[in-house]
Amino acid sequence: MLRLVMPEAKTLRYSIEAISNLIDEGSFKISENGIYMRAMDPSRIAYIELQLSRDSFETIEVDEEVSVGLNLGELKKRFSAAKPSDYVEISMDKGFFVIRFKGKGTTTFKLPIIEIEEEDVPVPNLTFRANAKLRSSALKEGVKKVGIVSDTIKFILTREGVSMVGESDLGEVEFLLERGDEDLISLEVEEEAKASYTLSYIEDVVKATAASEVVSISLNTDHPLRMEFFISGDAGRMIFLLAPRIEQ
Amino acid sequence: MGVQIGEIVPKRELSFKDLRGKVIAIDAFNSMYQFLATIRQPDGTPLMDSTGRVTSHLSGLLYRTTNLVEEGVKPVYVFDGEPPELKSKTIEERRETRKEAEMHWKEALERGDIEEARKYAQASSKLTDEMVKESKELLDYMGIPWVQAPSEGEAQASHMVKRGDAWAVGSQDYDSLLFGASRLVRNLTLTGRRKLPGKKTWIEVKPELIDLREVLDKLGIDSEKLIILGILVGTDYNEGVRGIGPKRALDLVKRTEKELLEELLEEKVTQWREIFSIFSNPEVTSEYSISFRKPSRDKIIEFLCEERDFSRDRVEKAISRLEKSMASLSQSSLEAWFS
Repeated sequence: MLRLVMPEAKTLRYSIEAISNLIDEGSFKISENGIYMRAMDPSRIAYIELQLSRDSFETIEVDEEVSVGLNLGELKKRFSAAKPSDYVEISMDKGFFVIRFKGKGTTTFKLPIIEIEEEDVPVPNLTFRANAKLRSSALKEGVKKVGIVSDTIKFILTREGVSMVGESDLGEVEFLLERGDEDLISLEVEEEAKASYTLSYIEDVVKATAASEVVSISLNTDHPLRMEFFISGDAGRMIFLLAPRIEQ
Repeated sequence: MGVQIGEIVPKRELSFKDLRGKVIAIDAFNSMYQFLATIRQPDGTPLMDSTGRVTSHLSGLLYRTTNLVEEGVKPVYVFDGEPPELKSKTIEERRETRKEAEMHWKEALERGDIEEARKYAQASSKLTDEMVKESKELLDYMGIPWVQAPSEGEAQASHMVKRGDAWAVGSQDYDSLLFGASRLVRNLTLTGRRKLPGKKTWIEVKPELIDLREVLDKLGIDSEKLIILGILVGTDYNEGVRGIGPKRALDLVKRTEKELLEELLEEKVTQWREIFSIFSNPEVTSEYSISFRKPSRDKIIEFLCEERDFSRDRVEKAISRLEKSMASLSQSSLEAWFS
């Protein structure tokens, strides 16, 4: 028996959109505790982890934990077909992952489950000295503005605020959230930090902001970036690690 | 030429994916001779500008380096400095060979034998001081680092691998194994296909990795014995012992005590200790920096198109590819933070 129900499709839809641009295939662990997956992109530049606890679901009936391998590009297409407000029901049927949306009529997709070689995904060992919590919408805004000028984004965390900077032949741009800004929920900086990242990875993952109100950003100079998106309060989270660009 | 131990050395085929993000210390002279030998017209005439200057080496450097960077490889070219005294005989012989080849090339051309002409033309390839200077200049404009070796380029490249500044040496020769480089990558600056010498067939050329640890394990000898093996077979500094090929040499060094091998060398190879020391304690420098910079489009175009008649269209395209790939070279991987 496996049956999970979510009253709204948006959480899954936007999380999957964020992941599927970085990773082609994913193995989802489904248990009575919810859904869990983690993966590294093939070039090992980005790591992603998705946890949707049982609180994310209206109903969760799972007899025993299963690992379900899915093609994420295909999964994304199925979820893109849903309205964010559609009711979602997930089940399994003889080698198929069954997704049912109820909104305008009832749509049932059967997606083939694929074999995925279970490989140990190593977790980078990181500690951070600068952390900021901001509204996801502000992150999205900053990323968008930097993208106008540059394909690289530099995050700078100081005691005064968070800034996102872009530089290219076309000029420069800075998006600043000063301490006290209502979009900057908290700022803890033991040591000021700055590092640059390839913007396209961030643009992909920022799609998850549509399912998340709050994101925390952790940084160390020239170290990987950690972003944690909180989904429906504390019921779910998406953790994203991205290797920096090291200019020589 | 280098030490001829290729037939007894285990090799592993690589894909460029395995080399992504890795710094490779490329033996510049080795690559440039390859470019000069292979980048030629069917009758053996090298690429030249309107004033008759050879440009095959520059063409190779631009396009093959761009291909490498596009694959995510970080090349550093290492240029030879003053050759060791002991190499002078080899150098003189090579000069003779080239001279003869050039003569045969012209004769073949007169006979209209294109196949022969190309073969001799390749063997006549000369690398002049001017070409070396031009190559360094082009690399500077491309933003690709190069290092000047005090003496042998392969020794310097091996030193850089030993210090951890490069992942492997890139060369067709095997000498770097004698210099102690832990990894050697061959076929790097070749294109996907290579013509077999003297034949009309093409073979697919893939990069191959030679891992020193694997070599020593498979041969069942240590690095000192590998140098002795090389000296027995022949190096750029000595002729080798008559009648001893790589297999016999291996057999010999494996079952003979070092002291006895030394006696044998004493008897058969003049100045063998000096040769041994060129490999075990080569002249190298730790004063170098490896930095990749943004290519300078205008300079490359001026240097190649305006001064040396390269096709502007092709060069522009290569620069665009280079710019794009150089920008992505600075992307690191999470691997550095796995514990």
